[in-house]
Amino acid sequence: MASVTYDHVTKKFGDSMIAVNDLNINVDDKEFLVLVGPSGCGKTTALRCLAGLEEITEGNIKIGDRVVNDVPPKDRDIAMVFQSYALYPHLSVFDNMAFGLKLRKVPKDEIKRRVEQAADTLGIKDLLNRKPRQLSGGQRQRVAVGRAIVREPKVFLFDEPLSNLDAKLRVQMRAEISKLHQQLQTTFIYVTHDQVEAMTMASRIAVINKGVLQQIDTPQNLYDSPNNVFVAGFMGSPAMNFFPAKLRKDANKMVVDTSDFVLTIPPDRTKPLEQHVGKDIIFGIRPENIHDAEFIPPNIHAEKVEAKVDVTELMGNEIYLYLITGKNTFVGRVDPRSKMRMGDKAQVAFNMDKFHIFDAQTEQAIR
Amino acid sequence: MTTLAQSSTASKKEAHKKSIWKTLNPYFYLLPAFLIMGVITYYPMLYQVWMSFTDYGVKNLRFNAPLPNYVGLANYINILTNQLGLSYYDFWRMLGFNLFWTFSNVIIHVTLGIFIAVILNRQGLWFKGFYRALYILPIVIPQIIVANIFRNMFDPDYGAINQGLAALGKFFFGLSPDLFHIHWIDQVNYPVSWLPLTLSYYALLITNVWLGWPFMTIVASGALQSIPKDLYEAARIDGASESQQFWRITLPLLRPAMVPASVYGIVMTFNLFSLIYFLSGGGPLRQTEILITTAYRLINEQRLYGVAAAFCVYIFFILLALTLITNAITRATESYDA
Amino acid sequence: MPDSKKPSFFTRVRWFFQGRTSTGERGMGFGSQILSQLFLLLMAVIVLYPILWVVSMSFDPRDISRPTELRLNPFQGGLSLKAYQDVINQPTANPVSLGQLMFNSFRLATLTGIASIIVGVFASYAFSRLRFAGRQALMIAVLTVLMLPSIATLPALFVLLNKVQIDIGNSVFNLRNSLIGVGLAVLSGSLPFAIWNMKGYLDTIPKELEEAALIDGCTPNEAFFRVTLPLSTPVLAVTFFLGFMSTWTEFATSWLFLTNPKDFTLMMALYNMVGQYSNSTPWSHFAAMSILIALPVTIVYLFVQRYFVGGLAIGGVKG
Ligand SMILES: Nc1ncnc2c1ncn2[C@@H]1O[C@H](COP(=O)(O)OP(=O)(O)OP(=O)(O)O)[C@@H](O)[C@H]1O
Ligand SMILES: [Mg+2]
Repeated sequence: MASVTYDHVTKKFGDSMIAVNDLNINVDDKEFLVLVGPSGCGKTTALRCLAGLEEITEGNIKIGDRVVNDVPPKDRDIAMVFQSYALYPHLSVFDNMAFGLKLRKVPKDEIKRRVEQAADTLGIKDLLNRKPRQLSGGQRQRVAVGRAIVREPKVFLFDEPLSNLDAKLRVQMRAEISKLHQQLQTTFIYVTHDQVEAMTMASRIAVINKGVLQQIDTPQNLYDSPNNVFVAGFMGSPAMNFFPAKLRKDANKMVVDTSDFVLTIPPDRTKPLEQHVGKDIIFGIRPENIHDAEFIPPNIHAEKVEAKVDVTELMGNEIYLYLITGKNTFVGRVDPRSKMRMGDKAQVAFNMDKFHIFDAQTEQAIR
Repeated sequence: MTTLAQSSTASKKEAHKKSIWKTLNPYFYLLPAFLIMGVITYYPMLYQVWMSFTDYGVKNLRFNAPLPNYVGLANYINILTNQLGLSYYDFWRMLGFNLFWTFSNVIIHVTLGIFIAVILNRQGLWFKGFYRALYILPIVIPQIIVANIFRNMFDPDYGAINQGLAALGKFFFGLSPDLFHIHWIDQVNYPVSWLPLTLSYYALLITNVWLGWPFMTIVASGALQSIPKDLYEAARIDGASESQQFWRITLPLLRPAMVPASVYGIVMTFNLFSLIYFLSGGGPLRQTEILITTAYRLINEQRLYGVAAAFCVYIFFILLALTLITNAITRATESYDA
Repeated sequence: MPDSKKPSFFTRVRWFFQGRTSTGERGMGFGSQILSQLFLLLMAVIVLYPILWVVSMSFDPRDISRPTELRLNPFQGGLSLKAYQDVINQPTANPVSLGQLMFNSFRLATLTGIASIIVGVFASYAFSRLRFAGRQALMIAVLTVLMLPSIATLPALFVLLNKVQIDIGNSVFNLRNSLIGVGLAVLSGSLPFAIWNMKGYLDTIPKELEEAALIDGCTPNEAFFRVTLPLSTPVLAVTFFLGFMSTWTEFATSWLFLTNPKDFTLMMALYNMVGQYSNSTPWSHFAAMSILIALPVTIVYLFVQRYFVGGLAIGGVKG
């Protein structure tokens, strides 16, 4: 039951490899923070620094009010679930879970009580006498979680715990870990590169790229108002469409001019953009905000664009259209009734209430 | 305020202390092994280098004995110029024999090993498990015992080999058994007049082939089993014959396993003390002596410790060269594996 | 397979003769089957013959010094344990029993084997897991010794160990001329091998296990003792066995060092039976002796060999 603070934390491997760069994060007590980012961006390293498995090069890490930079892992009161589970092969499931408690000299019957309770919660009561190699992947995963919860630590760390499971089991375990978080009322820090996991489980998400924190916010805020092109492109699937463009004023209207088409910006959103008129920008719009011109939802500012349909993917409840206009290619998620097919010339509509504009130089959002 | 500052310097000292322990920790793990090896391995190795420049002999052994005399490079020179007082000793012939011995053995081991592994790997072969289990035996029986068994088997009068040859000769050609008193171990004449190898070399070779091929079969079998079957199916569809499949698929894919095994075999065979010492004793007339058995004789029979030390220094450098060369060859041909 | 029923006994017999595998896949033709069988059988006979020959000789009932005809006695002639009895009572001209020789060899092999794994495992752990200044250099130092056959350090070991001499009253203890001295010399060669062999295995144990232990409450050293060490028992056993085996059959050092028949080892006695002064030893005695020496290690070897087949560890102890 503690907060966690990364205070200007930098971790270098050797002299040149900066795995984590000036990281600042405050994780509140009982929060479920998810670290996401592409492979190699430093998520695991950030987590291992908190666990004490790596020494940090600069900055401070605090658990509660205590600076733990020089505290060995065993005294940090944390528990960690590894991607490979790291179950002790020579110990039974029971002994795996009891290992940490025995080291802390917890009385025998207390150990038994806690292990059995955790096993009950996780539905692995029948497996306590088995060795790890006699378990399936999902069962191992549960044991690894069980080993963490019997310790009743202040902070739980997870490093991509679900990435070795098949798709179905992953969905199930996702729900179970969320439930566990509610039951335990403890701080969870969870690393993944799966944005669906991030969106569904997190109370807040921290997006990291190349060792640098890009944005930290609730899933909804992150999705609705990404700070920069990287975050906008990383969250959401299919990814947001980007068009290099210029911002212009035509008569009284402010317009976005890609080389292929021109879009009018609704008057209520022009204000923050005034300073950027005449400059290069990046125009971003998510696929679900591109509609078939024949099925435009009511009450939106729609701007029509001519495009050629390159590929269509039928998903059942919607259709993905891969579209081409001049130099740009983009994706739309349109109404399943749409009749557009490969090779057609098509009219699509951009929902101009839901677009994003980024500075072309800094790639920061303008709003 | 001051107390805070004090406590922080105190904790810094504490942290400093801890980090010293942390950097020292690995050395505590190494300490026992290197303490022991320092005394019984590395110090003797250095001492031996010093010995190699002296005339260390029996007279210097006794407690309180005088130090041996410094003789410079004399030992090293005498070894190469065959002035050791050992009859029939010829360094360069021995080195050549040692290398020939090594490579003739390993080539046969590897060839036979792969051949048998390929047969054993064929689908639908009967009694596979039986053969696999049986062929382990030469590996698991101590080598010295094997050397002794074969020494008896090669006995000119009562040995199984000569008796077996006599029986075969009589059965097929009606030859008299008296013809078969072949002196495998001590015949001095070369059986093939233009090849300077005595019969004892062939006896050693037979024995060491008996000893050596199963290891190569085991390594090759492991590698064969990891070759995916669909490669052969694809090759068959492409119209490759059985022998083409062997040369184009099996052999290249065996390479990564067989090369290190062969390097290992080379080093082991080069130093195969027990077999030669027990079977032929290096004879006749030192014709099958190798470096390591000669070194042993210098210590054990001649008791010329200084000369033996110099001899061992040579062995060290020859082995170093052998290892480096085989490693370089291995590495140079590695790209071929891809 | 759509039909998961096992094939009937008759089907399997038919497949066997058609050269199919146990799942019915197509195998080799009949002609090449017979050819292969003939060749493999020949190899089997070649492998087995020397072993059967020495076994049959050891049971030879006739108490003669040399066999005069080519035959495997158990199948003709009958059995006798006399050779074994003689060998157990007194294998050589020296007044020592086989029990004494075995005890010497056993002590030597066990103690050096245990010493090499206990001392070696710490160093191998350091090389495998820990990062420290001089790691490369020290590893090369170990590899250098590994490359060198143990005879190549005997001159110095003989001379140096010979200098350690303690006079106790009227008896003299010379380290060189003792089993302890032989043990030290043997250890000097087997320790680097043990370190290297165990390092190779430790490298395959995932690092995460120790990290998990650190988080569960271990200090780094506790993590080694509680997690890594228990997990390396297989390699400890194999390394011990290989060390045991090489010392059990060690000859060069003990023959050079030891002069007192009370300290002699099995291999020395065997050499006395077959070496240049041995013409009077009946071959049945030599055969019985060989079997008594080889049988225990061979049986253990057969049981443990599957653990190190594949790796080059097999036989990888310096002779
Ligand atoms: N021990 C190390 N020594 C040197 N570089 C390292 C070490 N550990 C990690 N790195 C480097 O630091 C960077 C960040 O690695 P990290 O494991 O934290 O990535 P990650 O975000 O967890 O990626 P993934 O999603 O693939 O697990 C990588 O470029 C990696 O190569
Ligand atoms: Mg990672």
